[in-house]
Amino acid sequence: MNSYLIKKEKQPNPMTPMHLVALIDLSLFTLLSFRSGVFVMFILMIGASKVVLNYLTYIILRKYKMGDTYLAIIVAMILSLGLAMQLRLSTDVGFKQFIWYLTGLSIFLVTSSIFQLVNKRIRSIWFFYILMIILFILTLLIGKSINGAKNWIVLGKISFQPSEFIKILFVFFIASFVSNPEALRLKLGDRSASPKWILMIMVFIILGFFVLQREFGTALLIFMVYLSTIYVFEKAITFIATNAILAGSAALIAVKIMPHLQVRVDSWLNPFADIAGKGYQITQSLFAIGSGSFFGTGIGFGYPHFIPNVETDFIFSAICEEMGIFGGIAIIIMFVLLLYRGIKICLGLRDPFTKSLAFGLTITVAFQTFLIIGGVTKLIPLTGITLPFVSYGGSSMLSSFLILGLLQALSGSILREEAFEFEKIDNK
Amino acid sequence: MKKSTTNSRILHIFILISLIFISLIVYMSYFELYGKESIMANSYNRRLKANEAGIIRGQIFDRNGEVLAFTKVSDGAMSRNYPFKNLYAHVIGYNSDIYGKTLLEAQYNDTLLGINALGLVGNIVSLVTGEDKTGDNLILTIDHNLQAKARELMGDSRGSIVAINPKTGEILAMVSTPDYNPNESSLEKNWDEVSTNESSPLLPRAILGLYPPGSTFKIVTAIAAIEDGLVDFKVEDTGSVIIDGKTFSNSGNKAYGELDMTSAMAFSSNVYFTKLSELLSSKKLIQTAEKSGINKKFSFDLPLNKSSINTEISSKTEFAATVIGQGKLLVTPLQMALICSGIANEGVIMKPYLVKSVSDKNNKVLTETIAKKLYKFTDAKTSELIKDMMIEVVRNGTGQKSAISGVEVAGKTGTAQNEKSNQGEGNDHAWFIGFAPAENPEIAIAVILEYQSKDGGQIAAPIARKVISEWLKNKKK
Repeated sequence: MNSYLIKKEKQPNPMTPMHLVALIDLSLFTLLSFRSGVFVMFILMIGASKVVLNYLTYIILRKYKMGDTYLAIIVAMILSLGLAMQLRLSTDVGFKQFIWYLTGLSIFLVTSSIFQLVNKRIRSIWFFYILMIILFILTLLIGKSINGAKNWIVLGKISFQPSEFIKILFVFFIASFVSNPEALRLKLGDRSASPKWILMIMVFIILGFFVLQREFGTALLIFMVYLSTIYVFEKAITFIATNAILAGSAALIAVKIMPHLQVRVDSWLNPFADIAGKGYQITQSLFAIGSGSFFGTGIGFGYPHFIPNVETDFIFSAICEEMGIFGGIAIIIMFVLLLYRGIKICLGLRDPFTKSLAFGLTITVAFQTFLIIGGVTKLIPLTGITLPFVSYGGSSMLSSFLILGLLQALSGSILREEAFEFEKIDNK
Repeated sequence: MKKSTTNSRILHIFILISLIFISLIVYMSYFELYGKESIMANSYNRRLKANEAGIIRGQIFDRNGEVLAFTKVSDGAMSRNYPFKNLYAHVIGYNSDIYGKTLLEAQYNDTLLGINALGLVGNIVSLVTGEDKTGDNLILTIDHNLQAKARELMGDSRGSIVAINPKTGEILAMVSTPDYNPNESSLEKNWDEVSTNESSPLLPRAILGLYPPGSTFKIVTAIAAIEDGLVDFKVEDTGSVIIDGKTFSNSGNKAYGELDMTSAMAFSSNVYFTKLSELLSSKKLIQTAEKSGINKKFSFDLPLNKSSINTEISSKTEFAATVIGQGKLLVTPLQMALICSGIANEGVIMKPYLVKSVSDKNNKVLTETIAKKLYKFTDAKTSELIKDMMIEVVRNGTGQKSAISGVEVAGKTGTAQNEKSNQGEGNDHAWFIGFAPAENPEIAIAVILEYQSKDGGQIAAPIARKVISEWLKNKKK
């Protein structure tokens, strides 16, 4: 029993990759602080603080036995490239991003410490569903449009994108279903509708809300998470096919009747037809990636500012321009590693709720990464979502760290707790 | 049991997502290797211009150091200047903020901007010193005097002159007319006119113009025949001949009596060569043509149209038309100059080039082009026989107007029928190709004048003579 934990003790010391990240950080930020020809102490200090925080996080995770230490190391590496690129684009935005990183890191530590306390208390599917609906209605009522999509809530000085958090709530919602599908059984006299079909209707309502807010990227993202989770935990192939066909035809109709969506498809199929208008963003992104070639122009030697929204949606193109697609591929590999660690945590968990939660959170990050990178490289149509831990923005940064914190908790305290409980069951 | 199947399905999803990411990496690599090629030159790519900001574009010189293009900086603004205006429009091209770049300005853009492996290092240096960076210079093989003379001789005619050093492949002069003024201000003023004019002033005819070669192609036919052992073929020329029901006649229906290959070449007898076609295989002719570069592509300093010969000649009449340079056969003036330089250089065609060397801002030579063999056209013996025939053309035949006293000139005239020829007089292309001095060739030339009423011997040959004399005269100095 408990082979997972025993194996963990034998693992090589993960301190070594930590030093590697520190080495990269120090050289990267030292170079960056000399970039303009004059030494900028401020940038080097950001780099140094990041190195210190990396080690501190690592030591805390080790000391309190908080689970998988690799998660934080992988993310630290992704953050280095992201933060360096943000600082290169604009010291001002880079500094704000650094503040978001600090906030995110605290959220990560808090979440990973306290999630255990609420884990078993809140598992009501209706609780998560109603919370999502409230957020949607709030957005529709008091939402502001920024960049064409009405998906921001502004409260005084703080503005945030509810969809970044709805996607996490959605994972909880699905996990609640997986752990207790009977909560959705509707009885109509003698006949009862299968919970799966009720779930389907509920999911399509959420998709409808996202489409209303023109959040096609997040809609696609949660739909992929939904289908994958159903495949893993319900193995209902015909049900999945029905869902895919329904959503596919709905999407086709939506493309026909919504000009906004039509534009996205057109500018994906042939962006050069309207290069001055609708195709401008994606073609500028392609020019950037193309001019970077394999090794990049070198940080500071490219023109990432030519791409609109470069610090949010198109940050990956900027990285490809100046660090080459080898830099871009490094980011992809880092996310694949993160996916691998997440899946590993998921395999170790036994309670359907936590297992589904770990699975959903992991693939949310993976699919989101694919959707945005595929979008800016024109492999798939562009949907305006962010690259986790790299794109500029508070909502994106905080929700990414929240996911990381939950995964951390699942890999640590919750895994231990489960191991303890299942041991009791096994011993009976 | 349930747990293990759930876990295996989790692994399915893991593998699926990993494959998606791998396909993303493959797609990105494909994009860098092949996908981006066609899009990077788009005028909406602002990087193209941004790369040039703060870089003083290199100069372009002729072989003797005459400045043909330079960049002037005044009040921080840069402008590209072509002091000889139209003269190099079809060699150097233009470099315009509005219309982009063409020809050498486009092909050697990176060199002129100094963007190469070492360029980045230079960039860092200028970043520290704050100076403008200077690109590298091109030194051309063109001789400015010869180019100016050739252009002057073309006058208002449309057409092209290409002069090559047959021993090295250096292009000495390359004229295409009509032309245009590539300086930014006049380009902007005249753009609508030059881009729509039916005479196509923007077309560099020497490299992109495709013409039927007419009788100049008889050289290729003669090589094929000699290589097939038909050197002693004789014909009683009565002025016309019927091949498979179609009549082929000499220019002006002249009857030349008994002809051997040399006299047939001298008088450019269509009767002789069409009769010869009955003994020659079309395969052999196509092979010989292809050995001169027809139907082939090769890299050149400028974009190039491929000369072509139909590889599936279907009838005897089509073949008879092909041997005298008509039929489905199209050549660029550069191609004819190469054929001619192959005869001059013992059957070997040297790779033509325009950029002799590249130098930095202190005129230190960075790279130098080395003469290279391009094609083995024919053997030395055959080329010697052809050379003698071409000498005869100039001494006693159709090319007498290219003769220079004291210098042996070898040549071949041509008058090519084209799509407009059946509209009556004044619509044939006049050709002359030749080289001199015959015993030790220093220049090979191709001249074409479009839509003329006189034949190649009358109007193209004298132009060739003057260009050749100009070159030989200056060489003696």
